[in-house]
Amino acid sequence: MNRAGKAAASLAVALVMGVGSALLVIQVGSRSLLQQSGPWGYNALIGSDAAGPYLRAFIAWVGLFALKNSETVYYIAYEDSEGNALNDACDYRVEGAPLDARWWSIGLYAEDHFLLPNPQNRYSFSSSHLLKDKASSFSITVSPEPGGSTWLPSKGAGDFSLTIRMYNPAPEIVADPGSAVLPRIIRERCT
Amino acid sequence: MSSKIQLVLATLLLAAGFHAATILLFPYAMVRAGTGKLLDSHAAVNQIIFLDRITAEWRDVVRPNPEAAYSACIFDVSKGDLELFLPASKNYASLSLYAANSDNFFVLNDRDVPTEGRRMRLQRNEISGPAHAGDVSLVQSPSDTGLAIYRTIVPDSSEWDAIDRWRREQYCRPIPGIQSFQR
Repeated sequence: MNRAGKAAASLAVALVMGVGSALLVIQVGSRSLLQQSGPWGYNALIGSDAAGPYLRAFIAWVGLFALKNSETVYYIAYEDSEGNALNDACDYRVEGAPLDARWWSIGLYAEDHFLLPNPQNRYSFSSSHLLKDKASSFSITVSPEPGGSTWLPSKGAGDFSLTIRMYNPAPEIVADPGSAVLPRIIRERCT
Repeated sequence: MSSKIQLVLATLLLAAGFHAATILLFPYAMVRAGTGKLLDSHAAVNQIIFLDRITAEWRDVVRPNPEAAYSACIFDVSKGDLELFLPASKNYASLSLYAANSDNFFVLNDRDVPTEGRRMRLQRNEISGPAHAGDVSLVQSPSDTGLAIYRTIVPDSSEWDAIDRWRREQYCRPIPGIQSFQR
């Protein structure tokens, strides 16, 4: 191979390696940028101009146009409380106490980070619904099959994630999102 | 150093450069893709878009909040300032501004909105004095282009129509004849 050929080959290899490794890091590796509170991952710098380039790229992939921490704190769970990947082959119970924010919700997202189509058009439950009767605790059933009044359909999701949004969270949670008492994700039954 | 080793080192160095460039440019590309989809299906730059109720069919931007009523405005302040308005709300409502690299550089929510609503002027030029002129808040955009998102929580689907009517007061529009507001 002549010199020009070697240079072209080097450029092509570098392009594939460089771009490929970056996309892999964004899609998979950057999850390590999330700190964990049980199964829930969070990062106080989401949305902020203080976010590093890897975090910014990761959030652009999984949650573009997220609000900054002082306004809304987000938590993402890819696994249950025992560390098993969330998958529509299993039923889960998400249970906990009301979260310390003005308004909050727990939603289910498919592997591609979009809402999961379902005949009920049910994608999340919020404090508006779960705390209607001033409840001191809540429980959501995540399952491919119907399961009560707080059923979040997962049929066809494959691996999925759950997201907590806390709008106008308590100041302590803004200061340290890891201090929030978050719901447990309990795997109940798998087929 | 042999020419083979030089070639390997040059390839690795180039790969590191492509890696860094991809990481840095990725958020810009995602913002362009997201706003491009909004433009394709809706309206023009510097104009508010009232999005329909969010369902799984809506795939312009990842991880939307299905319990929010969204309005959006793809902005370009390179040629002049914009005026934005958030009316008072009894539910959580906010106006957030995103730079071309996806950073959320400004948020205003209903807790800081008086009963007559809050007007804002978005500009590219640096704001050297107070961040307000009378009752108008001044905000500097770190980039020529970006996105404004209005979010309003819809506590119950039965409230959608009322909230949809309410949000029609929101606006995002160029200020005629004003290139840029200077203090």
